[in-house]
Amino acid sequence: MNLIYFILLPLLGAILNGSIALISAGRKKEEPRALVSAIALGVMLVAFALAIPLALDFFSGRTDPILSSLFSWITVGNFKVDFALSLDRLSVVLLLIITGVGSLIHLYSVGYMKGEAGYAKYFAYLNLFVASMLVLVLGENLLMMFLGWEGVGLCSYLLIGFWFEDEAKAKAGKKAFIVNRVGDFGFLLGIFLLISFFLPEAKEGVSILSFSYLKTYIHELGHAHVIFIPAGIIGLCFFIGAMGKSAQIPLYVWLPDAMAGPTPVSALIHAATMVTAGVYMIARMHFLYDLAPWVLQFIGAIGAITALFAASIGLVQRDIKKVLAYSTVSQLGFMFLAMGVGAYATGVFHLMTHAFFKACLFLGSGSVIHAMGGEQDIRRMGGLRKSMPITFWTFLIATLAIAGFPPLSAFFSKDEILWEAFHRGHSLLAGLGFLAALMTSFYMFRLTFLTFFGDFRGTEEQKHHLHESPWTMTLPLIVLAILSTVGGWVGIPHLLGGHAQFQNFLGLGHGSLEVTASDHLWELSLMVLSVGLALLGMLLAYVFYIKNQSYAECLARRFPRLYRLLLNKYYVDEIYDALIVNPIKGISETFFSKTVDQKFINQVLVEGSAKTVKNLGRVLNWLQSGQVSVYAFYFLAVISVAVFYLVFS
Amino acid sequence: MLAAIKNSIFPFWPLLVLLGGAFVTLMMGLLKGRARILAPALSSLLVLALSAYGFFEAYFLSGSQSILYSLAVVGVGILSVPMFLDYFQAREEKVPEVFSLLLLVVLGALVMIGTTHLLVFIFGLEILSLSLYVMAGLRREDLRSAESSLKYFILGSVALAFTLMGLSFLYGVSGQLDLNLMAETVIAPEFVTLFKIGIFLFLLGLCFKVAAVPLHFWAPDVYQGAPMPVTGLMAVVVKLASFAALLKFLFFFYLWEHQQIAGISLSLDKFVLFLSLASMAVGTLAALRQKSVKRLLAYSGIAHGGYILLGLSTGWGQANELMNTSDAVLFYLISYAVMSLGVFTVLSLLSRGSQELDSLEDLKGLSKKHPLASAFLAFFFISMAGIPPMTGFMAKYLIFKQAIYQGLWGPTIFAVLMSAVAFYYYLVPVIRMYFQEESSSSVELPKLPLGAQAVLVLLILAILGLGIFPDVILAGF
Amino acid sequence: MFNWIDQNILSLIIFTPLAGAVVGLFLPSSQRRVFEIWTLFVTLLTFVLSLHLVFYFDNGAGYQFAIFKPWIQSLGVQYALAVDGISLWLVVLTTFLMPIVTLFSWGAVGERHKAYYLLLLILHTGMLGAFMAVDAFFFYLFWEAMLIPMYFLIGIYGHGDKIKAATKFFIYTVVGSVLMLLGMIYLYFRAGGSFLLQDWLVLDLSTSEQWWLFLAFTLSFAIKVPIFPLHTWLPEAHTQAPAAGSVILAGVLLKMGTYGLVRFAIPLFPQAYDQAYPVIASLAVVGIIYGSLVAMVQKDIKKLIAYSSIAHLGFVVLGLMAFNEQSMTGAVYQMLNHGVSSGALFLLVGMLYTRTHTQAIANYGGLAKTLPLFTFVFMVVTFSSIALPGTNGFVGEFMILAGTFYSDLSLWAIVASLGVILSAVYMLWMVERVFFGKKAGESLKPLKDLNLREWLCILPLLVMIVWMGLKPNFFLEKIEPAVKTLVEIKSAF
Repeated sequence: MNLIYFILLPLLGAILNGSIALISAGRKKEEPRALVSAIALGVMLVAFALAIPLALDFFSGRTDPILSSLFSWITVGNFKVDFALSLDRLSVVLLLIITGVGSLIHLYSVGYMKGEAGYAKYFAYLNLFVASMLVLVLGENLLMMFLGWEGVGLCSYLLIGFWFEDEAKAKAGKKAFIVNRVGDFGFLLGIFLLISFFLPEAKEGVSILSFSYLKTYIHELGHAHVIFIPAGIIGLCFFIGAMGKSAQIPLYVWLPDAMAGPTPVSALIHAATMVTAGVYMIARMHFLYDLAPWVLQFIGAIGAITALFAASIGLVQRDIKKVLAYSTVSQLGFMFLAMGVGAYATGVFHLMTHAFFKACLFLGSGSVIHAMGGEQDIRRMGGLRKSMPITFWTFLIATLAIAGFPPLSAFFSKDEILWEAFHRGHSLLAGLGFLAALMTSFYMFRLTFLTFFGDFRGTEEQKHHLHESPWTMTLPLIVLAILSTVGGWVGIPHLLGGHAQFQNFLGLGHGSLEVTASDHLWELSLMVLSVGLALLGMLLAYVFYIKNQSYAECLARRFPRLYRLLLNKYYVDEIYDALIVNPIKGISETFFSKTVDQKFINQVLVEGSAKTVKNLGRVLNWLQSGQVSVYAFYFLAVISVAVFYLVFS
Repeated sequence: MLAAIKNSIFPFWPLLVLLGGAFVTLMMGLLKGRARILAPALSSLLVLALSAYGFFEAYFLSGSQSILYSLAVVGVGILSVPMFLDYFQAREEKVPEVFSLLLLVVLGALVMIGTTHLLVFIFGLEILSLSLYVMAGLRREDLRSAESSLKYFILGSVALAFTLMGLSFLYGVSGQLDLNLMAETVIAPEFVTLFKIGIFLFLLGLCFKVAAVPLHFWAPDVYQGAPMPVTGLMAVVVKLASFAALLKFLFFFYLWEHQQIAGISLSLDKFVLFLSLASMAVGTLAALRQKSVKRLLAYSGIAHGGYILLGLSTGWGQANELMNTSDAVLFYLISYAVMSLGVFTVLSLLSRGSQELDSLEDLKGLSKKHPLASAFLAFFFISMAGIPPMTGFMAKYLIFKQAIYQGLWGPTIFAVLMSAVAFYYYLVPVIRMYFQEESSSSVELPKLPLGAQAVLVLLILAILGLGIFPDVILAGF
Repeated sequence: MFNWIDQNILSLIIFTPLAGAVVGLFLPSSQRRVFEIWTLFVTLLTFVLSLHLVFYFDNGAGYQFAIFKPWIQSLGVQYALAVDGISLWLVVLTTFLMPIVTLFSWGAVGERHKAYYLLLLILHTGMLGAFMAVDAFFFYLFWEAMLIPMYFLIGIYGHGDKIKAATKFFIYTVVGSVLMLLGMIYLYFRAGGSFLLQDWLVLDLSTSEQWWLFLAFTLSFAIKVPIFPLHTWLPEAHTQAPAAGSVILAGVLLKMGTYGLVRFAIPLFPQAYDQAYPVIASLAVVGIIYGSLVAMVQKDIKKLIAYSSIAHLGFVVLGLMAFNEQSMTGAVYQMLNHGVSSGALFLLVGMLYTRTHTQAIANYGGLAKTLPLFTFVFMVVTFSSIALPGTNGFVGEFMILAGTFYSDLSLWAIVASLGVILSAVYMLWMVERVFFGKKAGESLKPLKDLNLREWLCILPLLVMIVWMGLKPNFFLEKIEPAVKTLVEIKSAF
């Protein structure tokens, strides 16, 4: 089957809905909402349905990728890039997540966005996002991937700023795009470096940026443990791209702000799919990273630190979506930790389970916000479990999953990341990971308790309004809750009697699993530790937020600085503003624009020289006195000089 | 018998026709009514056309270049008749004598162009100058016109005195007044300096006429005071005739220098180059700050003279380059004549009545009041600035080409930079006419008469034709 | 008949607008509609004629559709027209933009419409001639002649401090080009009395000769591009020009500079180029960063786009300096892209201006609510301008940077890549201020969205943005052979 249908279908949806949006905007008419939803959801479901047989094909043992080359995109001399797609075991997983979870979120959106203006526009963007995301995932070469990479960034920008009339939201979208561009700068540099290494010797008609070519020839970049080898630099460049897209330190700052977008968008783009693109990219390029261990170490460290850092901020946030946003950053950190220790498959495994439970959490929060009439502050919620049972139960399941309770999905994936980190000799990183896991459990239960337990703390009006969401919203919640539960069962480790099928299926090589028998004791004890930490986190949350709520305030008063530091997210935004944004703006304004451009170049050099020339004319006008006698004098002087010259030369 | 008469008269046919025509035209001032001014105008047209008849037959002129210059002068004369007619017809004081003076100016110019005899040349020069002195003062109600006339006369006389002095030195040393004969005389070594001084005094007198810096001071003042068509005549005919003469004389002087006759070393090329650079610089820079159109054109004329002089300073080493140089100068002069005539015609037509359209401020918003006149004027100014495909560009190009061929990099770079600066002041009238709104003092402007329009269209075609197909002039020789 | 057309196609293309102008001269000036339709007809006819070039262009190097006829014999000037892969698209870009500009002007020009449309047509001929002439003298003729109509367009139909802007534009460009003229004269003598480019290419010039000539030529082109620090005429000209003028200026005239570099400065003086390219590349990179930074703090939409043009053309120049197949092809392609994208941006700003009569960013806000269609179009063009993959801008910038990267200018390429970030910063900042947020004032309320005529103007540009982004090979395969020859000529030294 030609893979292009996966792109064309959502693209068609985007174009149709976009046209509907434009036409109705132009005629100032109401949009045909049913048609819009049918188109948007329809293309997603068809795409998902088309994906299933392909996935089954791979699950039943297919190893060689499916290739679809459409046309040659850019050809200049011996440089050639095709507009080509490929589907292999890695991308088929992502394909399923994107179309599957994507379909659910589209369905959810039908309910969530009901009554919002710009309905068709919203679905056009959402479809366009899916199309871009699939280009990213299915792209056969780096440039195709970059096409999708930037495409999803565009959609993210558009959807974050969906309610553009609110300036803060428009700004958040812009911030997301620009921070991502910083990462893209790294991505591009990586591509350029690869080109500069491979192009001079490339044969005409060979696409050097295709993954298959790179996989075959990447070893020419050299393999060494020195820092400055091409593979390392290139790997680092690509990782900068991943930092941007997957919100790692120091480029994570856009993701919490991105919560300005509609909640289903947060679920789809900023939790389940787009933000994991960096992880996917590293898995896709793992052959490159295999050559550069120091970059891997760097990635692991960034991942672990991000996991902990974001989790710590999540501890005190009051906005339900912000907590989940920092949680996402933190979970992405776990994935990069896995990548960094070389356990690519495990990272992808966590990517998948995260897609389930985090989508479920976001959608659940959306359901809550919907019921609360737009309220997002968890201090004004409470006791919602009675009025919205489905939301509550699914949210609770997802919380248990993310906290790592067995046998829910993240137990297997997260635990394995920590185990891999540990037994591959990165115990420090593993330690950070355990700490982050503890915090995760704490803040997630804090969230759950504050939202669903206790008494309602909102206004009377809100209380009156509380209701369970319609089926379009609860159905996706239920499905995702189920997936959050069972999603991890495809990768049960050998220790627990499983076969780690998922990891083996991906076959990303480099010893994804080299578990030796002697490690079993360690593995088991770590497993126990992590479950213990999850329990501890839950217990602490229970004590602080259900048993005796004054403890939390007490603690906050005890360490006011720490509390404020966390509440203000370590002042990172402010630091960026002070160190980067404002200086650049200031220098551009006062120095470049006003001083150099206007004063120096324009006024002094350009207009100054013109003025000088003009002023020379003034002297001449002065000589032109208008008096005949003066002119006669000039005449005589000239003739005298001439004669003098002739006589005495 | 008739043939004999014809043979003896024909060499002087143009001069005789012009002279006789001037008398007849003068007498037509006795007529009454509209004919008082129309008849002299028509008769001068006829006379000018008749005079041209003799050029190719047998002329006292030597060389095809002289014929072309003469044709150009007569052509300018013909084309300027509508300008004079319209200007003076609209005035209270009609002054029909002006056409007779016009014929005399042409007569003087032809003599200047044609002769190699120095004394005859002075006659021509004086016929031309005296007529112009009178013409400059024709606006009797305007003090500045009188001032212009007087200034021109006084300074012209001083210059004439020096020219004559130079002439007397030359005659005293060589005993000849015809340059062809003078070239064959042997000059005693002790008189060489005197001879050189003679040459230089003579040349300086000519440089005064072409308003080369530093002998240019009269030009802006005189231009400004004279009636508009007369200014045009000064700008065009005087420049044409004087430069043609200068070219001719320089040709002789260079030749002497080149052949080392009597051990004369004059460094004339350096002298001319100096005049050229000074003229370009002063003409261009001074024009930048002018508020009067006439003064602006005076300075622009000085700058144009600078380019011509740049051409005149080159090419005297080799015979074939000499041809190219004189071609370039000829082309430049003809282009300049056509463009200037265009500008002055438009200005004269707009200057009818008591008020001259002289201040640049008066041009403000002209394009709305008088789109046709503005379009013509803008076209001529832009051509003067030297934008292709108009001939102003081609003319400059030919000069630069000659200069580069001679390796005069420094002066040429200076010249092109000056021409770039010159764009600025040529654009000033355009800005006033097109980019600015009308000033408060709105003057009622006359419509362009059809005859004048025809002349202007003809000039535009000439400008484009010369600019696009310069071979019309260049390939002929 | 067909043969005749095929042999004289270039003359036909060049002189169709001029002939249209001559005919227009005699049309009654009171009828505005007559001029509008006539000009549109003439420009469309020119465009259709130029499509002949696209269809019958043989994807190879060298001149095609060439016409060589003696013209000014005494000066050795030939009537020599030809196109190769580089000029082909620039010609088509010109003929493509002109009907759009004309159609746009229908709504924008009221007073003095006759002169306006005549000037457009004359300018059209001038631009086409400059791209097609392969005789240097002929080229120079068009190069200079172009200035006059543009000067009038800015001066008469512009706004604000238009006199200063027009004059600066004129004098600045002229100062550069007169020196080039001297260089051309020298080469003419050096080539034994020929202005033909092909005769000049085989000259064996000494290094010092090359240096001086390179300087003279490059100065002229650098002003036109403009390369930092010769750029200050551009923001003023753009800001004060009427929208159509800005579109032509950004879309076509700036390309004259880069085209001149490709056509003259680099191939004629390879040795001088070999020594000078790091300097020019540095200036180009400075232009990219500096232009972006200055664009970031502009308060006027048009000025912002003008500075962004400086940055964009910095990429083009950088690509030309890197001088390999990829970077050069990318640079030529980027010329077209910039023509389309910046042209579209200025067009859109023009449409906005006709509605609001203000260019200050601060006066806008929340337009996305009132003008949804316009906003959509503007966003598409914005993303083309910041080189989003899938749009035309990406292909050009990518090829330039990729090529530059593997030349010895890789450090320059890294710094230039920062421009990718900066372009997003200033463009999105502007978009945010103009289209998002709350409405700035009641005055902006009764705005009408795009009308049919405006859609007709902008739609072809949108199509080009996507087409050139997704199927660039259609264009590249025609450009590349010409570039390849150039690269080979240079590497022969």
